[in-house]
Amino acid sequence: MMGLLGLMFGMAPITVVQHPQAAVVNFQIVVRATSEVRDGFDTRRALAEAMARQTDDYGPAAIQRILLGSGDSSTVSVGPSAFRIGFSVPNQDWMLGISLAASMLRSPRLVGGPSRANRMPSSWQFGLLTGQAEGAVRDQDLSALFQRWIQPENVFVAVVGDVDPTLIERAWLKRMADWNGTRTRIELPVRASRLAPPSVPSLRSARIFRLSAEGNDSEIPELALATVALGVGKTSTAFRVLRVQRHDSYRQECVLLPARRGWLVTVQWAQSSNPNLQEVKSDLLRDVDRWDGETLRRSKAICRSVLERGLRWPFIWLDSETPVDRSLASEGYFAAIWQSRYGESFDLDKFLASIDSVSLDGLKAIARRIANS
Amino acid sequence: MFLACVVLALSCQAKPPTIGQPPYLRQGLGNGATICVIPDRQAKMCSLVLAASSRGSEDDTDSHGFRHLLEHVVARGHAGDVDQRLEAVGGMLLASTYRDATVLEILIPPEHLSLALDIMADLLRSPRISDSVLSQEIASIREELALVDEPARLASLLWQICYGRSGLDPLGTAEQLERATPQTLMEVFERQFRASNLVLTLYGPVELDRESSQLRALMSRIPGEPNRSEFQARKASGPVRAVSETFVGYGLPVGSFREPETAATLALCLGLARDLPGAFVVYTPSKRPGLITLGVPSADTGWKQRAARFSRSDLERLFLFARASCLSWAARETAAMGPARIQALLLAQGPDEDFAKFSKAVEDMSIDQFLEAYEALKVAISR
Repeated sequence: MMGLLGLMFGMAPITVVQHPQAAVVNFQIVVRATSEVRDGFDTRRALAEAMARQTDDYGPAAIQRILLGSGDSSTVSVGPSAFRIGFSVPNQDWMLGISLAASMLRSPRLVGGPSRANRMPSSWQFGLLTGQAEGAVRDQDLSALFQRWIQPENVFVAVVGDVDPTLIERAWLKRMADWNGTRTRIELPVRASRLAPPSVPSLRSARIFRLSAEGNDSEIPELALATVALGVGKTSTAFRVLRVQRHDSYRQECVLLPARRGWLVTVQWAQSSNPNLQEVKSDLLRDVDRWDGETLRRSKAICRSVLERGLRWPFIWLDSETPVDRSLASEGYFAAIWQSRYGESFDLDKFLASIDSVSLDGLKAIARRIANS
Repeated sequence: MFLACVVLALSCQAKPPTIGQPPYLRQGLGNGATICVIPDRQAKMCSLVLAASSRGSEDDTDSHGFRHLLEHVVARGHAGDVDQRLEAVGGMLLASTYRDATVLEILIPPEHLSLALDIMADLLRSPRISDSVLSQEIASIREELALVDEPARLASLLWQICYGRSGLDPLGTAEQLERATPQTLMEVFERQFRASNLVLTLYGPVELDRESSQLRALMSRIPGEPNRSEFQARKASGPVRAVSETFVGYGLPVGSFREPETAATLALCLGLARDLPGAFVVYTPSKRPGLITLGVPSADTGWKQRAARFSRSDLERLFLFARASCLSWAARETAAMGPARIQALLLAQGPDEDFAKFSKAVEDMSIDQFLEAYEALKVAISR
């Protein structure tokens, strides 16, 4: 991640990530989950969609026009730790992007509407989804949730592109310095917006199985490495056990996902028969016991290739739709999540150094916890 | 960056001429193979891609799926340690079977490029195919087929309805794969991995001259042949429609990826899918006649009526968004597949292909072509 700068003002930070050759400027508004927010996945998604749909300043058609040059609609996704609204504008329209982001936070028109999937999650991705469909969300629920949740201390904004950080920060400050998060417009009469459960394509005959375990924020280096050693690549434990040894599965992976608190490691695999989970766990644990210095070296090499060089094997996912890869959107989203977790900008060199210092014993201890979950 | 590259294409020649330092080299070798080097100083990984065209070994009723099985076997390498060697240095091997080619891609940190070249040399050798290797890989493919999701199944069905036998799914079926023997697979290997079917591309922070020589040396070892086979003709029956558990699929036959008519059809589908919850579009760029699939959730019972009644002004409004969506799709595909893979896939279909031509086709497409694409969709809807 190059040119990472952060600015704290008031209680809502904005992070600017510079990409000198980017053709568009990407904005990510990330709202972290808090313990007060008990509303489910669909309600949070409906709120994010309503905020992105229209504001007092920009109607749906105006938003569509602003985003036209990027070729994409706004993107909304929800994970256990946060929801985000993302959009891109052509470079020359960065000021308009700032204005739109501010307007989505300050004065959204919270009117429900049909749920809009950005893109249909694959069945594989859907396996990572932790929310459940609730069936109906009312506009009044959105409004109450907005007032409870969308407060400066929960909001993290990232801007990624060929931009001048000083100008971005100044423009953001101008629009948001006096924001206290309380003003919103409530459309009446209230009506229920029924949400259909997410449409997930069926697999031919396989089913998805998974083992998950949580870790603390402070364990992130060990968790990242354990994720790689357990389930990234064809020399990983999951591949060895589930494909080579047991002939159970064609696809198996391990991913790391930010949970509401800490991080969630999930070993996921597809299988057309019913697995004996106890046997699978025992086999995974036996394999972990055989890890050696080579396992550690390989995991560090892959971790570095993915995070530093963009190897197309993302193992950190921010929600079921968003892997951490080298796209502007995921970079901004990750920067904001990191800021919300650790109160500082993500520093790749520092992170890789922390990964380099993980020992084999530390790695095995975490992996055993996951395999035993 | 890749889309902006200038192409220097050299036709098949026995002795490669001296070349300068263009941003991008493509060269036909005396034995019929093609190499392509795309240097990019900003790139942090190298991507070395071998594409073996399916020219002469197209999927047929008796053999579909055999190329897929062969891909699994070849990707093991002779000592079965390809993945171990690559992953130890932070690299990886990806293998895919498309209708037009089989692709083996090595992604590796630039300082380990020589390892990638060694491994590629290993993959190019005739594979060792035993009955036990076949059994293991067939078992693996059974699980792979079980994992195919509904959009992919629907697209596959539409291909077969539209193109008949020449639209068979290259992944194959479990029953069909059981018929493969070491000997039949070796025959497929010999047909498919002959020099004139092979393209080797390299993308990364590389020196054009030095790496071109290495690729040339690697590919020149493969014996040449006098004649190159041609693809079997693929003839579409027209726009088609099929239904799966939760989707209605519309298949629109298109020509080469570089034709504005193809861009117009893809733009229409992307533009319609953009604001249609749960909809999807499937298209793999091909020089050959292909198919664009638009999948619409069958729960949206009103879509068919709405879509059949678009006015010209509706479509003119959609045109602007659709064009932008199409360019955005092309940029995403390039980023997702990487320049080396997409270029190898296209070069395996014929010389002079370049994905940049797709962006040109999008720029060139007219509103009339867009309206024609809509008429074709209406035919599919009415089926």
